[in-house]
Amino acid sequence: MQKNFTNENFEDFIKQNADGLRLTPSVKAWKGIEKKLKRGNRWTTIIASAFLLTASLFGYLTTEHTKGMFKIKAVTPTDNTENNHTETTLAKVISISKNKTASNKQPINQSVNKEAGTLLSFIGSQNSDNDVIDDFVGAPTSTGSLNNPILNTVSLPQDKLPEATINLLLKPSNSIHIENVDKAVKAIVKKKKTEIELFFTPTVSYRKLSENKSYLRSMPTNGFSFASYYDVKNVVTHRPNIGLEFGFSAKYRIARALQLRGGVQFNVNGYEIKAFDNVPELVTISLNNRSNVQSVNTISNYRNFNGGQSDWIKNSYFQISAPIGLELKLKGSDKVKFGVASTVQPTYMLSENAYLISTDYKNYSKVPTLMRRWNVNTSVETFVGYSTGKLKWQVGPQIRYQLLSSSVAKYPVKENLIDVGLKVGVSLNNK
Amino acid sequence: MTEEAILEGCIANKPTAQKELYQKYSGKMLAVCYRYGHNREDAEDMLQEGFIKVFSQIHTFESRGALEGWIRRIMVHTCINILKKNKKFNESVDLIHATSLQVREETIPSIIQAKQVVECIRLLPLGYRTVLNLYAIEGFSHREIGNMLDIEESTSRSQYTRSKAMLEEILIKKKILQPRVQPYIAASGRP
Repeated sequence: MQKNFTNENFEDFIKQNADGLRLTPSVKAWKGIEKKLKRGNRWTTIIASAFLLTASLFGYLTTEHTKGMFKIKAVTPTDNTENNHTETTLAKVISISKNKTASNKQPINQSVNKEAGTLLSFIGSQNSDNDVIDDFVGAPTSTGSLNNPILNTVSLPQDKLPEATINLLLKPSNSIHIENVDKAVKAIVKKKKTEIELFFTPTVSYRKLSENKSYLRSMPTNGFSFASYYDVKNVVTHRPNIGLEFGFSAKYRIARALQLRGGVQFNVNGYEIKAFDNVPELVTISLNNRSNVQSVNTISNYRNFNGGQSDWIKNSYFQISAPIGLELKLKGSDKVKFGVASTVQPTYMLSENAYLISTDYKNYSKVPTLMRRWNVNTSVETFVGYSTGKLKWQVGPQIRYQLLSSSVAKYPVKENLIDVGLKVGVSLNNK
Repeated sequence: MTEEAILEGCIANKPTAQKELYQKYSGKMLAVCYRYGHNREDAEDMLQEGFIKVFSQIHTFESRGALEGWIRRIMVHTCINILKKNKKFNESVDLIHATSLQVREETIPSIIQAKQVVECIRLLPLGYRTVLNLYAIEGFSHREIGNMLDIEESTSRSQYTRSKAMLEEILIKKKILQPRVQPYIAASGRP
């Protein structure tokens, strides 16, 4: 038992005993730390996986699109009385259309041949036994010219012919005109309404700093706030940094020149802040929690000014967002076009490495709990689209702006991220 | 592995170095967290969060100071932030309540003295205990404690005086200390 202690040695006694204690943590404690540390590496895996998934999806769609083109296959003839009528009608259709266009230029003639082939192939696919086509193509008819090699080799899309068009063509009472054939063909070769675009955007990222007005308004009248006296924009030195956006979007045509867009996008952005090395010191960040002022204490190794060696510290963010918006074609053809697009992007912060400035604007420190996880971004872009065979490219400048501050609402400074970049998108040509 | 090698390994994010650092300091740091936490589980949660901060900010450590001191400061601030976040810190205990705490007079023969003293500290109400920990053991001034806990400097001072008196009483009742022979003087040299 300790005897004869005084006021001073009482404190020493407490300190010595408290410092002398060692406890063994459970295995669970280290496992928890290990798990959280691995989470950082997990994001690298997630990015790589997302990129691979996107690329695979795009590759798959490209392959499937190519497979969708097929040739007319040879089928065996049968004696089908019901279909004989169809044969005759179709023979007439093709015959008339061919005769009508015979005097025209060669490309038109070829086009008609293709159209005829399209119709034949379609009806062949509609009839389960495929007999009609064989009879029709194989047997000599009065028109005598349907055994055209073009019919056997032409590639055709697997679109379904609308029922109304079938009726129009197959109904014996209908008078057959080239207009009807044209209508039918147009219906077949009608463009797909949806397309998938894969894109990436190298960006230059920056931020807009401002005082949190709601923070200042709710400060107690007798409270002192540095934000009230100093403009945060004038006390920090920061510069842009390189960023990247990538992802994919699905586009759906809702009008001739208007497309609806939706997709998934990953964003890596950030900027650099000039700071000065310093010995670790206690830093306070005041927070206004509506009814009262709270504070968070943390350790800082960087000063905003009056420190040791100067350094540029990097603030970086990794986000996932779901852009939803519209794309408008302003001018151009299917080959070359010019347009504008705009999206709204609900965004989730997957991870960050950000230093926050202390309330007295003197220090920088990391306080992840003060970072906002959910945010909303907007983007505006203009683009030039160019079609090269199977692929469509879309290139143009883009600006992305973060609507809500990167930090929580009770933090005294607001930060809105801005990314300016060149977006490059590629999608399949649906023509 | 030397401390420099551990430090370099941790900066390079090497798991072996991180585990080495953890094994070296976790015992001491858990004892620190244990003085602030409500129970052993709380303390381990604080330890986990503290070490994650240590590993994520270790590149900012400058070898001018002692690594242990740096880790300890991070642990203490983590504990304080967790207590504040959980709003457990805001409980106020007046002197009447504090002095009427029931402590059974008994000896604790089977455990070492350090553990006994820490267990006695843990008998104090949370607010008192935190001020006592920060002032008497960690060496913060009352001004710093006031800033950390969002309380007045004078409140920290008075809470410390009360907590010290209470702890003394507990230690005497537990027969770890003998009653003092000199009159008790509350004043202290530090601000």
